[in-house]
Amino acid sequence: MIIQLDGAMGTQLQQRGLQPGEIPELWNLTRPGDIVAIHRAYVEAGANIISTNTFGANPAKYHGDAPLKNVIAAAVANARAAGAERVALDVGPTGRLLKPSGDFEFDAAYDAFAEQIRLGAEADADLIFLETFADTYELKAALLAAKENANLPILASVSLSEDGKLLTGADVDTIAALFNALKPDACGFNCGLGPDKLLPFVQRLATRTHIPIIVKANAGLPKVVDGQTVFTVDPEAFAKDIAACIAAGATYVGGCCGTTPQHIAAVRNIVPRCVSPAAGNSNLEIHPSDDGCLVTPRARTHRGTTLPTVVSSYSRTVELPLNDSLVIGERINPTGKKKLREAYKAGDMGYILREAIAQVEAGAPILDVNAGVPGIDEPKVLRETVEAIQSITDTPLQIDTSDPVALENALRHYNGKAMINSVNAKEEVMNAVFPIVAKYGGVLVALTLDENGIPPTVEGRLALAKKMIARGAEYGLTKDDFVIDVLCLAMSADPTSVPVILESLRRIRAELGVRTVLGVSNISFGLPARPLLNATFYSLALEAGLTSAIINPLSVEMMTAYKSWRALTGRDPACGEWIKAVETGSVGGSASPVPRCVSPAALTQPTTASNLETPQAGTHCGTGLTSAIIHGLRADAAQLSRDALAAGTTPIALIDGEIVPALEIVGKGFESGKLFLPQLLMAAEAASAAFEVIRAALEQSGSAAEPKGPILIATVKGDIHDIGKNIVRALLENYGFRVIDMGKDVEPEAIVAKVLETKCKLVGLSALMTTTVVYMKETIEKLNAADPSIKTFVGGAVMTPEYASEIHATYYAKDAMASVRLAEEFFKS
Amino acid sequence: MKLDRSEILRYMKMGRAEPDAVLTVRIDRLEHEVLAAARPVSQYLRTAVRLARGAGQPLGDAAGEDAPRYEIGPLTLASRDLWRCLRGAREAYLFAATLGHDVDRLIRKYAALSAADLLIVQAIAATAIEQYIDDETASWGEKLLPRYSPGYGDLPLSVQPDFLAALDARKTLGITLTETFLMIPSKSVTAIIGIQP
Repeated sequence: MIIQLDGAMGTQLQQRGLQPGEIPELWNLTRPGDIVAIHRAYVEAGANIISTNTFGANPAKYHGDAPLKNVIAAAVANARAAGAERVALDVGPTGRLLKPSGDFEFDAAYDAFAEQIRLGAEADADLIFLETFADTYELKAALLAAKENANLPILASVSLSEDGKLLTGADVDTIAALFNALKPDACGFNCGLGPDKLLPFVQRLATRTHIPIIVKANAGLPKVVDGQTVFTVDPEAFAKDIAACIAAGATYVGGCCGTTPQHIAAVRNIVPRCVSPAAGNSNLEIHPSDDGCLVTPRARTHRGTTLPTVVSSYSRTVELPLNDSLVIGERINPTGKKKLREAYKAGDMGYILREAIAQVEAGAPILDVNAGVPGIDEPKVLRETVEAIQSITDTPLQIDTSDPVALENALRHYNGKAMINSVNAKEEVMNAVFPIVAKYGGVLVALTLDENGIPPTVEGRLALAKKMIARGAEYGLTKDDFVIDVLCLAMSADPTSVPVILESLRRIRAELGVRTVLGVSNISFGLPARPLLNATFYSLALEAGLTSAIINPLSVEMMTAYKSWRALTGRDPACGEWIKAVETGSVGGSASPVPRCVSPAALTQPTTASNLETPQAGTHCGTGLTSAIIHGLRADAAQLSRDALAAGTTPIALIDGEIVPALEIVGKGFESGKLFLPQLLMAAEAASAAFEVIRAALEQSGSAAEPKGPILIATVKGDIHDIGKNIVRALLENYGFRVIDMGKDVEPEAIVAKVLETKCKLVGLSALMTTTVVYMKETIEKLNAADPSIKTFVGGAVMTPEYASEIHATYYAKDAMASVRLAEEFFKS
Repeated sequence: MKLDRSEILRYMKMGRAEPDAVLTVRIDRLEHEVLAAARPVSQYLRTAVRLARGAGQPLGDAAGEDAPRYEIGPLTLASRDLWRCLRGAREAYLFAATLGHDVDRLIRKYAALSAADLLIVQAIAATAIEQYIDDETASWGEKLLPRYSPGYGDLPLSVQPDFLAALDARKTLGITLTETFLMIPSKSVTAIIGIQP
């Protein structure tokens, strides 16, 4: 059955005299006659569902005088008065962009939608229509608000640009992944494009979801004529294109901007002649009943196609293969990784993000994220880590925790459909994890262990796999939502480990047709030459049908095993990827071909750096760490430090004899105008790379120096320009200070609280806009009130020494180097 | 798009210094990355400029009581600096452009990875948006006055909500505002461009 939706509200309001800047929702109260008349025209044209005039009626956007409650109650009443068969509470986006791209908190967006939806439910709307969303994250907030604050069917639709993507980057597959994860009762597209342009995207969506599809299209693309936006597709042409969308699988059809009752009537005339492949599969049935529950969700029925199993982010979808295998990056897991544990404890997100980027660049299509460090607030830290990684990469994540609270908190704030690690066959764990996965969606790693431990036999592990899949079905999960981990036990402890794993993989694939995963490197625990054992075992597991592996993508041995298996088994056509990987050095016997030294030619070019008083540039391969640092050669600086240490130079000699003098030379060069900011930063990074190597050596000898600091820095409230602040942070870190970076747009109270918590005595504040200096002033006042011994330094485009003293900052930093100088001075005293 | 290297170096605050080979390679690599991430789009409204006829309150109050009040399309303004810049133009473009969200993501990535790269990426992106706007506006084939953006002189940032609404920029370009009227994506520009009378 095809269900007809109504047409445009905004266009109709404008025709009735709505002025630019006027709040359309207020007309529900001030001009109810007009609103009822608009709705009635659509009812008479054949619309089954009428959307209320509440697009902007959420507390984040609405700023009218009348209470929202009255506006929404009147809006629902107006739709009823027009004789609507069903009334949908219309919910549009907030108009704000969510963090990390924007400045609006996910939870604040959720609260805004929740209030609108509660008011709509109180006003007795029959269903909720989330429409014109252009950002997957905001859509997720709205879907959760709709599910948790009303017991009504939910329609959800997004607005595509001409390239078939949302403005924040999601394509149709990625949008479908989110819909499938959060399961509205119907999903699709509205606004943005006309039905002709939407057709290919409707066709694509139909292959990616079994949820009934909505098409509420514009009357073509908008054109601006004499400063007015007009839509030009006439009702007959519109209806013809809608018919094509129905043939492609749409079951909820209507109009958006520029459509009129005539467009909807034209659709009504054409609908009876449409052949829908989804006929009878409508998720909502409209009953001629009067029991108050007029529209009821119906069990989902498949269109006979199997959907691919995918995980997604805000703009990227990764399919989990059944006849191939993919790599899940294992490095963001603190088990056995001292540095990562310390980074988590110190809140050093930079370290974690660098691990993420390194794995992405090594080709990992999914990253595991685990924050299980004793003594930290895992639910908070896991969520923050997931958000931070999502702010810089679109690679989908695998959320890895045994704490259901941490799992739910991270999944809730994950932008996309995540992979989840893990559930096992213990009753308690299944009861805790399955409802969370059912609610938020996700692909679930399921470990074959229960209250009795890990079964020693293949049969035992298969039985647990089957049990988990069966129990998951009670929550609506299918076998395609599972990835079975048959668990890798160290072969040194259990000689049957390898044959049982391999046979289990074969049988899970053959008998259950389910995907598998392994944490491969456990196999060699306790044995020498582990990388070689791991790689060979990985090859065996791949050939036994392993469809994904949690490994270190930076390991040449493991990536060689993986890529050579794909090449050898015909999964890498013409061995293209293999050849590319060999060229880039990510596979093969030798380490990556990082040149030890840049060519002498590069260094004899005229450069400002070589004009400095430095050791002869061309000789730096012999002795000159100093020269490598001055020229900003990161890899060289690290390698030269390793070589020097191996040759017997002491760490202290390297620091005092090379690194400190090199930094002094570039610092002075910058201050005297011979050297410029990019070169200063490159040199500082090279010094930092050398220092890393030396610090590792010092730690081994147990004599590592504590970094100086801490220094807390932030871009103040209201300001989102943080490039200058980030440069200051990096330079301070490169010069050996510990920096607590609170980010941008930070509330004064949050800065004060963190300063007191960390007992930090030096605070750097940045502002780029004159309009945000007021918050800088407020922050300094509050810091002084909390502890007068705290010193502050300020910088940013609008700052001057006079301005700085006017707002009572202790120091003015004219540039990044000046921040380093004043920090050196501060910690000397 | 091929970017003007001297502009990139200017944004990098390199003065008149020539970058060495190491730095050049780095700029080349990052320029490629920024251009791959950029999805430049723009929107404009060509409209009349006329003295205000009374009713509408000007947006913002930085210009003071006796400033000229005038309308550019749906906006009522009172900025002296813009008025001077318009030099009696009878028509003007309200214009907005952005490089999109992926460039912001790239900037965030390099903020975590490397301050030197961050500085370079920032300079490349600034060059890219300016050059895109130059190319777009040149393609109109008209004699245009210099462009003038909210936030400069006495034209306050608080005109941004109405400016962007006039272009439906949230929907058409994906530009939204923070509470303090800063644009997201960060590599976005709004400008008023007078047409030479």
